[in-house]
Amino acid sequence: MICCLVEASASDARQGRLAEIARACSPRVELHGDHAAVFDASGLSRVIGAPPEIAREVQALAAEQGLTVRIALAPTRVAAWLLAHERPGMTVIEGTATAAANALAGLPTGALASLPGSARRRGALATAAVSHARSRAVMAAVKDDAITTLVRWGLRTLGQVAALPRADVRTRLGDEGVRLHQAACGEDADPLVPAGDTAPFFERVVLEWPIEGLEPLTFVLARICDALSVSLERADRGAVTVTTTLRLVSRDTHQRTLNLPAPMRESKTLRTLIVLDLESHPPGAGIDVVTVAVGVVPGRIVQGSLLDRALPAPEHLATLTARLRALMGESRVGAPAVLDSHDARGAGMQPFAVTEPPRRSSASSLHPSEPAAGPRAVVRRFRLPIAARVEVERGGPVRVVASSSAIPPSDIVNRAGPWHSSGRWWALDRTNWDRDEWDIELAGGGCYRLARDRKTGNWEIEGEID
Amino acid sequence: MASAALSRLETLLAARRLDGTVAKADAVRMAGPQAPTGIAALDDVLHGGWRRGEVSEVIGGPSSGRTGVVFATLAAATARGEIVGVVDAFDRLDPATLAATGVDVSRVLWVRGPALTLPGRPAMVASAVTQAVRALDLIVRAGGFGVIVLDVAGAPARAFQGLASATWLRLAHTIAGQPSAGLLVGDAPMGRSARGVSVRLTSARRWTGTSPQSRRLAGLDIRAHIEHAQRPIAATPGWTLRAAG
Repeated sequence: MICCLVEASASDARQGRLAEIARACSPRVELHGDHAAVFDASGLSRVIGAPPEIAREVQALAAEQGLTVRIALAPTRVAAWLLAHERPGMTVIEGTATAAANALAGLPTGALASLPGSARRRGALATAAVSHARSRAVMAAVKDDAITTLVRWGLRTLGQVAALPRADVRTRLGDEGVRLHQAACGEDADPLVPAGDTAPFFERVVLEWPIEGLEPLTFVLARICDALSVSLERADRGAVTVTTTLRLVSRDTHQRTLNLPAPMRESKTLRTLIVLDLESHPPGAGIDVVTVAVGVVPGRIVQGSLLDRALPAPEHLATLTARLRALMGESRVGAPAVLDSHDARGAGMQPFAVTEPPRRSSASSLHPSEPAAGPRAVVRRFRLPIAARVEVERGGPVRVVASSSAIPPSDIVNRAGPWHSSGRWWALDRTNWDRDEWDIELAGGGCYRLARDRKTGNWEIEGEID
Repeated sequence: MASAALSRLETLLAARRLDGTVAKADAVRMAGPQAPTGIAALDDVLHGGWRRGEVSEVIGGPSSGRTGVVFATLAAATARGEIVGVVDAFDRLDPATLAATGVDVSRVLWVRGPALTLPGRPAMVASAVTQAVRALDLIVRAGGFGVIVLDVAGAPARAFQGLASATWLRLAHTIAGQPSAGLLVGDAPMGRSARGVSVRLTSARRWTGTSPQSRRLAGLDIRAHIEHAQRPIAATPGWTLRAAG
């Protein structure tokens, strides 16, 4: 159970009082400026009573401090946040995440504008060393764009937003759209990350001699991660963010922050993830001091199912993707994503995460091996299209000489087209396109997709039909 | 009596640190011995699909239907709730056609190699193949994937010369007993020592329409020939892949 407190009119004189109230109730407090605080109310029912009693108690505490606050208690953090920002007085939602989603269904779509930036993006932006004010402005602009689009689609309430298929939302609005959709469904995209003055989980090693290279650092990190793992185990906490700070002999500081896909506390996993990240982003000089700090959430309790298929644990998957990124490159590992464009050449990626398998209807479960779309011939896309010289007769290509020896010069024995496509004609950069496409079969074997740029007249082979 | 003997055997294996093989065999049994291809004609010949715990091959020339068969397999696997891995050595996968084939793209771990034009520079192609094999090895070792594909179609034969001679054997040993079906996609047989099935595909293109305006590529008529299998398979199944539009 999560509680959110919101003060509508924060003034300098009352600065910090909201934080005091929250800390009086729970050690796990997340602060959002001076006007909002979120805290973990789990366990308070044993001390105070039912959730409505907790809400009344918090309200009384606020009144003692001379504050008028809006309070919401809900099963998820995002639901508590939205309800506290949108409903006056006291709101209590008991039950599961479904109850939270039902409570949110009536709120206007514009309520999503009150959402704070996600911890993952905050970390990413901090790593990229973007100035805080500027990054907040960028995040707000992206979020507002997505909300404006939702409203323009005629979606007036969060219930209507939640009814959209999430995959389609991702296709059209990207990651920000997915985050808004999760919020509308009452699902937390990020865990509650308590503010710094709770019990810190960090380890620091001052080295007698500076170390060069990552191999000796691995041993130091193993010692640090073992100690952190024991601390996390004792406190029943799991790490969700890992910040590695290296003080270098050049007096510079090299800092890396990792956002983990799930709470974890296995020493070996933490060490591997840190080392793999440092292999991709190595420090520029010898290392004097190593500090590892972790942001924590309560430990994960997993109940395996006898009926569902066993999937890899998030820890193992995080290690695997980190290893693959180190091998192939930062942007070369993920799940494919379909882009919202008529330009078929683009390829999107999204983070790969194991989710619950989709529930099959009884009809489809009769033939589980037969996909609905059926087997198809598909296109193998040449990301670097192969330039070609093409002979044309009566408006159609009749012979192709490709610049690659993989496709020998050959006559075209069959062709279909042209299909004209164009897009982004309003853009002045090179993203606009205006092309004719053909499916061709060569006498030497092989079917290909051939395209002609209508502006330049250049021909390219874009893919193989296979 | 039997359970006591089994228990004793497991204890002995555990003492020699070989107990993982027992657990792995159990995992294969839980997942079902085959990963269906999603194509009934091929499933019939393969006795249900690609065998788990083995590395099989789909081979053929350009436009022989290799990718269509792989996508059908991935669609069937994701429909069962499995997660799948695709190591795309030369970055040829098209997410739009993947989704159009019925694959749940969110359950696909896509590892993209460098976007090379083949045959390309030999050193770069060989490096891409080596990287892709290492990525495949990492995914296999991680476990938990229903189907794992290594797509090196279009790579010239010399690109594989840089691989250690025991590469495929080691891969076969790693995947043995796991609930994953390994699939190699290429122009010619690669990992014969990997114990799985090698399926060679050939195709005839099916066109419709008589006038230039109505002419369309309707699909590929595929014929499969089992080149290599533990048990000889004489059948040459055929099926049609519809054009993806």
